[in-house]
Amino acid sequence: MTRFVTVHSFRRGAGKTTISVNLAGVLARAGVSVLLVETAHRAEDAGSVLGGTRPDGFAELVAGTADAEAVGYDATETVGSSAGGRLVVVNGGRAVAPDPDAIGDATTTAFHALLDAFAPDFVVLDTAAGLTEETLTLLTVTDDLLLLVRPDRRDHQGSAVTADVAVRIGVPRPALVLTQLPGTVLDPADRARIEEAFSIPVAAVLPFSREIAEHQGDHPFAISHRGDPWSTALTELASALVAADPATRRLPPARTSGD
Amino acid sequence: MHVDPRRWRIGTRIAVILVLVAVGPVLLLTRLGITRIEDQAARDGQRELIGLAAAIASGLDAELEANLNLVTGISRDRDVVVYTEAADRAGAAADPAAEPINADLDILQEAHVTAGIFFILDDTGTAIASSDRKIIGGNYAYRPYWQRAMRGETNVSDVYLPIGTTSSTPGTAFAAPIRRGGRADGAVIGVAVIKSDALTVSGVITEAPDREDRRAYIVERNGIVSASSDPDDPNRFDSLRPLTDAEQRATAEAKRFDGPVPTASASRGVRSLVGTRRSGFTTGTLADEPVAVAWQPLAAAPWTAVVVEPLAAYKASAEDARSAALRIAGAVALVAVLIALLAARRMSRPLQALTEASARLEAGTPVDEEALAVVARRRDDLGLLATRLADAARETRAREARLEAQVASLRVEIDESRRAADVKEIVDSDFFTDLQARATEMRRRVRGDEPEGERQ
Repeated sequence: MTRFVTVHSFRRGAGKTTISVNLAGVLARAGVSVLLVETAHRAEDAGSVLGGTRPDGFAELVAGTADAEAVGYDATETVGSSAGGRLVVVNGGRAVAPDPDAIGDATTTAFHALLDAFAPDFVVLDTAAGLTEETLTLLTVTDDLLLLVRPDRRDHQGSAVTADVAVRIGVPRPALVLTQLPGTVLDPADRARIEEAFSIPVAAVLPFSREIAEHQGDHPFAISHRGDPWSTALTELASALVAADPATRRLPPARTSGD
Repeated sequence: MHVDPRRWRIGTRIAVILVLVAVGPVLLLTRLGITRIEDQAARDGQRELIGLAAAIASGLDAELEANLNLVTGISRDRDVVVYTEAADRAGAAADPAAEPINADLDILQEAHVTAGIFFILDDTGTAIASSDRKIIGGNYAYRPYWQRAMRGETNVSDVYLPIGTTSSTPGTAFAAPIRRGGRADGAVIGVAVIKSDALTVSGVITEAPDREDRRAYIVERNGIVSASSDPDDPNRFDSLRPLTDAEQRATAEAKRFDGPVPTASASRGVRSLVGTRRSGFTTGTLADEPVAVAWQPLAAAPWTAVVVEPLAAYKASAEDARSAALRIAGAVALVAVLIALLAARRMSRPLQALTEASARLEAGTPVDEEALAVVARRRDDLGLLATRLADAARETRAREARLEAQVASLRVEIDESRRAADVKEIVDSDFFTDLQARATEMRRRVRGDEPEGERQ
């Protein structure tokens, strides 16, 4: 059973692409077959981070002008998987999304084609910011929502609304990922307050790291800087995701901190 | 262990460089200094041994000159000249021992106890008067000293060994020609002789060496060691070089030795002192022993005063000088290393503080701002760097405080009534209602677990 993990934030600049790429990389390296899909066109998308370029992407696939095989490319080499894992990346593409009334059908058809073509264990969706109709469509097929929240940004109102809508549309496991915090350990009282405020649990706390912003390697940061606190927190998040659903449990149980 | 200097800490690098800079010149100067010290010690050693040989030569010369002056005086004495002239004219007296001249010689002997026997030989080599009456009538024409004196030379004989019956001790003869009328141009009619106990000569030698491991020799013109400061010296009465047949014959004719003179084994350098008229020094072997040898020829006789020292003893002083120099150099090097290490510590301490601070900044742990402040007081680029690191540390601290404050105030920023309204607006929209209605079907379609017929 394929799992859909959607990485989303209400505002831009929360680190969606960085977290998507690293999450997909860590999962693939650990032996999981992963499909990383950019669902929006960006200048700095997962494809450019992982060094892959294709003329067409997810937008072309949804519009019906490109095949799944043509838009997906294998980036397993960049994560150095040794346990049989696989990483396939689909860039955002350029084409304008189809008529909003048909978006649901077109998107589901596109995903079906991708699953048919690559048969992944996990699909990691790197979304556009905001709460658009496209976001709602993606949430419909999402198993795990990772809603990124920066404590130093005043985007909490929108994030709270997004969390509520995700619950209402039936996302099985919506969760918060707190980014750019001073450390990886959250005071239990703070955690309780935050979970109560957003009405969904905190899945991970990612520390502020200047190095990630400056990182320009051939491999995702969490793989090239494995001892870094940020990498450790992200790897624990990946383990927790795998452990959350027995059907896809392949990694050892996660050792989460602060629980 | 593999050492890669590129991975060394800056403090280690500075220490290594300073130590090399400090110790390098010390080692170089030590190397040069030791060479000079060794050369100087060698020159001092040579000079000392040559000086000793010169002192012995000068002592011997003084003694020989005294005896030569004495025998010259006897040869010119009026009574001696008249007595010898009479014997030359009329032949020897019927009873020479009864002649009053003998009493004169007795007086001389008593006045010069160490000088030995005083006697007069006529122009046939026969003793015609003597302080020792036993030798009167004996003929000594075979002695080279008589032969040389008859040719007009006042001379010192070589040392004679007691192989005849004349005396029982090795002796040296001082001989002077007696001339007719006592005039310098008069014909030689006889020879005045002082037969000296050889011990008086070797006495100068016996007492000469200032150290037990040094020996003093008298070496004659043909290389024979006629005296040694060591009475048991195996080289005594041997020759430093093989005697020629003529020389062997001459020593036999002069009845100096009871048989041929043996040759002591000596290296070429040591042999080179035989017959030379200049002082010198060499190292080599004598009777297979490595030795240092210095010599000084005498003025009064064709002899050479020689000082022999074992080579090891000779080199010991240079070794002492060398080890003293090494000890001093070691101490200087140690001090240099200590100063270099202290200087390196002083120079690298601010760098270590900076490295430590930047590592802590990176790790997000608290920075020792006091240590940074100490470095920041410097007016050089390290001070500037420390100032910037301290600023960065302060910024980090401030940002963390800000973030923590934001986490704490998270709750305040959510307007619950607006939130509920926003959610309601979305949830009530046609799009959402439609999407929610199709959600289950969409999930199934994505995963392709719908019935076969519906599949595209």
